[in-house]
Amino acid sequence: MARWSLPSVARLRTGWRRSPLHGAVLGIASVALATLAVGAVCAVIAYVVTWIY
Amino acid sequence: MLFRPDRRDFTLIGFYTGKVVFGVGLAMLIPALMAFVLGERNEVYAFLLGAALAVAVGRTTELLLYSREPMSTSHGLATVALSWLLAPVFAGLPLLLSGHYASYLDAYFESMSGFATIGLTLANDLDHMARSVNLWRHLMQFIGGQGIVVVVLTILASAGGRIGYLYTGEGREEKILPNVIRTSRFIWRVALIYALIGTTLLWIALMGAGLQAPTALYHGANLFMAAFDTGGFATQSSSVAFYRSPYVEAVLLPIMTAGAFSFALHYQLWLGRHSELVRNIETRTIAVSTLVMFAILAVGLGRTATFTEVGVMMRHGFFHVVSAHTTTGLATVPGRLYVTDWGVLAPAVLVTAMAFGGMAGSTAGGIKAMRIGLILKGVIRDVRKVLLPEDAIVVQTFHSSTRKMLTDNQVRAAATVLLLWLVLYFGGGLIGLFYGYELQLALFESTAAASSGGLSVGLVRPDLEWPLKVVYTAQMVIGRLEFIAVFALLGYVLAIVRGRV
Repeated sequence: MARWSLPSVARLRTGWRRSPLHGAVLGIASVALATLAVGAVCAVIAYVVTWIY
Repeated sequence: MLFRPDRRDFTLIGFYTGKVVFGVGLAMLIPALMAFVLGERNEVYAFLLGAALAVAVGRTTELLLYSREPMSTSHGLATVALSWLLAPVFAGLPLLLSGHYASYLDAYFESMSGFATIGLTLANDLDHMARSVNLWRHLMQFIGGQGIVVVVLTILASAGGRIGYLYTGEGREEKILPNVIRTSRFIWRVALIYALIGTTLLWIALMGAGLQAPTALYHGANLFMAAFDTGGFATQSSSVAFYRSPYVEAVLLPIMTAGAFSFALHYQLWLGRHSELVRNIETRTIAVSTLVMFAILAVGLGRTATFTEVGVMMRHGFFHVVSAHTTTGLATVPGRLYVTDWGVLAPAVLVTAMAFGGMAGSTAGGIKAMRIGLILKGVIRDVRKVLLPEDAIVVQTFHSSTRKMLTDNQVRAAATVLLLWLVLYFGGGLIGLFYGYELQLALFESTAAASSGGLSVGLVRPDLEWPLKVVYTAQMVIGRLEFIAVFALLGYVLAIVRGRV
């Protein structure tokens, strides 16, 4: 009979990487970062335009 | 060679269209269940009636027109177009019975706006609409956004290879995975997992905005469907402005962006290939056009002194540029302010952003970043040809999953579709002018309908002239199906009219 033992960190990592949530977190983080990057440049533009007017 | 469809062609198209109508009927059971749980008795009957009718018509059509013939491109395209025209016929019934729509045309318009993920609404007194009916409006966007035909046929069809052409007809030209069924499953997996994450984030943000937990969850789920499917419906008539929360708006921004990203790009990002974000021709095009459009919008708003504080201008301006560019249509200010307070430049930017749209193979509409990018690359190549010595060989490449060489055919095809889009936008605008509306208003609303942009300056309302409602409905379906599917259906109709059957 197989004995129960705590899963190793490596197994947990592999399991997490294979789960659909891993891809989703990567995906949504990339999208959020892209939006944030464009938003940051837009904020600079907004600041400059407001300063001009 | 003349196009001479025979009875077998129509049988095949009818058979698959029946499957789609059947699927729409089943989908109506979700709001029916919600109406039952919430004790909205009249709505339970309305949804059950709509569902029964759709299931009966769909199943009868399937049985009467049973076919095992192989499906060709024209069959697939005509089926998609016919399905998109018929689905709102049944989906609009519960809307009409809810009492919030003045006529069946208004209910059909609303359903088409839902399935085509437009976001324009003809609802009366939206703020007091039954929750199940409001859920159905948003659910239509979710179903339409993920591809009504792919959805229904993925679930119901047993013959996988034969539905490939239906998939192409929706403007999703890339097969992310080797076959359509697996690709559709991936699309659904992305949508459902993002729905889980996005709704949770919105739920928290909405509770922070002062909504009770159950109400916040309901609004969050609906807002997610409207944002991720670039639909633009809202549970309240004042759209996102109702919540007065910058946190809600901040959560919505990446959700709208994710909706405008192609599923091919989502696939790359899910695999951890982040460099695709920087190298992809579409993300580059969208990033640059967003920056340029925001800069012009900021100048426009600055000149009219609409917002005196930089933070407020950034908040409303950036949200609207993203909402328009992703063709979502959610708004943080009432639409009439675009005309009365935003001057001329800022609304022009919104029209341009809606016209450009998101990425090919996403839930967004419009011309698409891929086509804009290819045309710009073509212009660059031609300029280089002029500047370099005559015997120089000019090679232009672009990146979309892999590095590809730009061909004349690609640029020509992109330019042809661009021309069709412009005809669609200006055609609707001209008809608006015919009915006496100002050019700015007519073009704004026409572009919003055709591109699935969904922002409105207030022209689309229940007392709009009925021919204009018909025109905008036609623009919605033509724009959503990107012309070719509608042309295929017209080909079959003309064949009947000319007696070539």
